Amino acid sequence: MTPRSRIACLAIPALPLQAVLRAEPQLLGSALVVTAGSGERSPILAAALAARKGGVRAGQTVAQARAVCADLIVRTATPALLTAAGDALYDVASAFSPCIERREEHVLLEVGDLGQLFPAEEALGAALVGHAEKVGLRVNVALADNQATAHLLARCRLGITLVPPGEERAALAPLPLAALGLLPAQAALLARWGLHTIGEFAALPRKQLAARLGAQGPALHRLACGEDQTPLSPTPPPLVISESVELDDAVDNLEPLAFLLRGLLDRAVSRLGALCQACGDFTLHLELEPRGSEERRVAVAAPTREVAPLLELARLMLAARPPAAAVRSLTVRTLPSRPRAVQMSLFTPAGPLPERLAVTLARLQALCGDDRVGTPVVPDTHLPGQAGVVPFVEPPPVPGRAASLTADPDAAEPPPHLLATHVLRPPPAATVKARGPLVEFVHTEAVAGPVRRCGGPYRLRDGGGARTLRDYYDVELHDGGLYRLFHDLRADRWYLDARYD
Amino acid sequence: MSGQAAVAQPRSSASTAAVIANLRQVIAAQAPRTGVVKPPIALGLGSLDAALHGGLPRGKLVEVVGQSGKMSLTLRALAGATRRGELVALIDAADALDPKAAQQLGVDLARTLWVRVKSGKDGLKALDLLLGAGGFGLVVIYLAGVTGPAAALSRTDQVWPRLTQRAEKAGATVLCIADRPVTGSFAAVTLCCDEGQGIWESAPGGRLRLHSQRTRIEVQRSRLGPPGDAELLTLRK
Repeated sequence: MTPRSRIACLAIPALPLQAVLRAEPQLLGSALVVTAGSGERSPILAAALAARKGGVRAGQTVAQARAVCADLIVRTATPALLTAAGDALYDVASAFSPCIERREEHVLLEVGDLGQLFPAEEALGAALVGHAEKVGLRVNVALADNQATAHLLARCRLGITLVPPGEERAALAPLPLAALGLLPAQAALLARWGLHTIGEFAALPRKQLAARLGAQGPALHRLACGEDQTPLSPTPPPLVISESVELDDAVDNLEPLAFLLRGLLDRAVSRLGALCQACGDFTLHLELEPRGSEERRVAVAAPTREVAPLLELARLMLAARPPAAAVRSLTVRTLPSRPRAVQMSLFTPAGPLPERLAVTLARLQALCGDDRVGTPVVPDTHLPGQAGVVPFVEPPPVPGRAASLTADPDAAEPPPHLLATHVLRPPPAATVKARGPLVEFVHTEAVAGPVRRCGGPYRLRDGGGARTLRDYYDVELHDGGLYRLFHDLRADRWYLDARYD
Repeated sequence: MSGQAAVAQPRSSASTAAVIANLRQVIAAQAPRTGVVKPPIALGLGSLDAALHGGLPRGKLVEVVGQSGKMSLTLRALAGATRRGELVALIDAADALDPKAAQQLGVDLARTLWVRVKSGKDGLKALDLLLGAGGFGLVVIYLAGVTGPAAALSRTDQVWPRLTQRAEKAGATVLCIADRPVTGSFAAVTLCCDEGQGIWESAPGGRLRLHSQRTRIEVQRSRLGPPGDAELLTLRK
């Protein structure tokens, strides 16, 4: 059986105010006003309760508001903030339904098939409100059989409104006529008729309205009666999760930048959580003062929803390569990634958590340098003692070693008894006294003395056309130390290469 | 056949319950109380492993000092741990690792994190970070051959207790390799490598060829048992 169509509408009342509060939650409870632009003459779009109690109203200029409210806090609703709040609302809706229509200040979603998960619509409404609070938004929710009714009720009524099937007209009746979005001429005409509520308008005969109000009359009447057959027009989800902050004063210090970054990452991760996704690699876009920008990519070892390791990675990256100038705007962009699913083994040893390992590697690289931390590799050369490093990636468990932790260690074949070398990097230059192929005396900054025994030489060449041509010698000094020397035949220089250890 | 016949005989429910109860007691006595207990990291050296009750102890600090054989011992320990599929880390203050030699000694390089620090002090910081990350079965801090200002280890009195506690918490073996003792009394075991002796053989043309090095590794101090056990090693080139 096809489930009955039910539409839920999530509307953000006072969107500019909420967008700012979402970015700066510490301003909650203050006399905050949000303006369209900067300057004392810019109009106020929305005012918080504390400001309204002080006499501030939307539409006033900042200067007028300051005159009535001394402790006014003014913020500008930037397009980036408004878009991020709208995106966050979309993310909330997408945790419930794949069929979502996004408008400027609200989203509509099809929830008719959620009866199995939420047998009572009150629970569904509460879940929608709860998810929205997690991303920092307070929304009004309305559920109805059609989108127009759901939208009107979500816009005009606080909290959760449930409209049983067939009762749309009754639900809309108490709402003011202005909710229908009338043109000024239409509003004036209906006011002259003495109509104030949608219910009073819906009681009028529809046919006569066409003569009085034109073609829009019957359409408005159908809207007032809760008769709407328009299907949802789904909006594709945003491909990129983006959160940004614009600063009044540019920041040139890492600590305040990290503080701002935490807020951005917090919001991005909460949005990803609403999408049941995690944060993988992300990008930092820095707008610099007075002009210019920088883009930094932060690699994340495994998608995660923990803000602390993400912040630490970004902080270490910024500390290693600070921005060229003070930052006036900061944006975090990331693609939703699937959370890591790990099947732990009963027998093989557990390695470090990928996110913790990534942070540790980043810290080690900050301590030692990028090219000094990683997995050692044997380079493709004949010369002894050469080494390379590649980035460390935790290898998968080796099949056949499943029971290695509990296995008898003596059962495994012991390593061969081979002599290892302590390589000296870079090889110290040596002064050598030699008689034919026999080295008789060695002097370096670290060791010096007559040679007791000498073996070699072993000639090795490397590179095309034998760019490197060396004679290697093993020597035992008078104190018993065993060393490896080489004579660079091209440069005619001697070096102490390694100590047998 | 008689055993099979005995198994096939029907048992009374009382005797079966008694057998099950007995089995439970036996298993409970032998099973570890908390999760899987990791065995020590065997070095593949009979006397030393026996003296250390199977190898390098987990969650403890082991110090190796002395003249020769330290790098060979380091690589043997790394090989022993990576053979079990564990991740290991080598904090190399001397930048002395030869990856090819490590591979020949059985070290799984893919499971090895090589951290080339610039001084002993940085080495202690790296050790602290790696123990904090967890998941590494063996962390080696190699300070042998480091001279000059890089060899200075400041405030070691404060550092080693903290590192010892972290190693215990992480269940990781910390192997500290140095020319002379640096960990004070915080090492559970101190191994001492004697001065090595080169063994040479004749080569064509009246020349000599280095064949091997003989060295002796002794348990100088141990909290696991009486010291004094030693292993005489002949390491072939």
